[in-house]
Amino acid sequence: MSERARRIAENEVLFRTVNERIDNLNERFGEPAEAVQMVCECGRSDCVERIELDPDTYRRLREDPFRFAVKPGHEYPASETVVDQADGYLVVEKKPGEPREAVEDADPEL
Amino acid sequence: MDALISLRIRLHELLSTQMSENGHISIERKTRNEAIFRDANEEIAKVREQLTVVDGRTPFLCECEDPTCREIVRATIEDYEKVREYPSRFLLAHGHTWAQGRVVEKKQDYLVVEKTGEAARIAHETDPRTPADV
Repeated sequence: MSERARRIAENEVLFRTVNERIDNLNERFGEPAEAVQMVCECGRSDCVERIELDPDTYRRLREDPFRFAVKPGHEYPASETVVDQADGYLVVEKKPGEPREAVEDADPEL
Repeated sequence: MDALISLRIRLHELLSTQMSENGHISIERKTRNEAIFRDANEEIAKVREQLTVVDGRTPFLCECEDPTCREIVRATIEDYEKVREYPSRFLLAHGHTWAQGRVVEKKQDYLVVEKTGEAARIAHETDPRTPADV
């Protein structure tokens, strides 16, 4: 597996972990009725962008471990396919093969 | 059934929110909020430590007293671990507030605050890295 594929996947998994914690905090401290600020789940380690998703949309996204929400322009067409787009973010799905294997390697939950 | 249990837990948390006589949220409640953010960051750190090629600073959550805060602060995992060596220390975004304590370090992205008094006691009591008394 290439180091680049692994690096992208590790960053995406790390950002997803942050969003999972934000979602847990929202549940614990009181569910917000509106969209909440999450972090962009792209593969760049220096990304500091925020995206807004409502809680239901966020949880639907999490049903597929190979999908991530990223800011437009932060997708990697070589390893990801844009499967949905909304106001302020895209949903990308990792392509089969190396990109998915890299996510499986990086995510302790998979 | 899960929904009912969640509702009961939430109700308990709301009822246990302690207010002082002047209506402000108590030091205990504020410090427990901060400890909840610390718990979330411990989960992030756990995942980060398993990653092998990712580099740079890791996104953590601000550990301030405000339960609505979702600010991100970035720290190297080494700097994060240095903060966690002290059960009474927390990472906060600049300009955010905390219950009882003093700033012991200022970084580009965050402050390190050390709890004092009652807040320090609660910070120790809730620290996931401190073994419980047997």
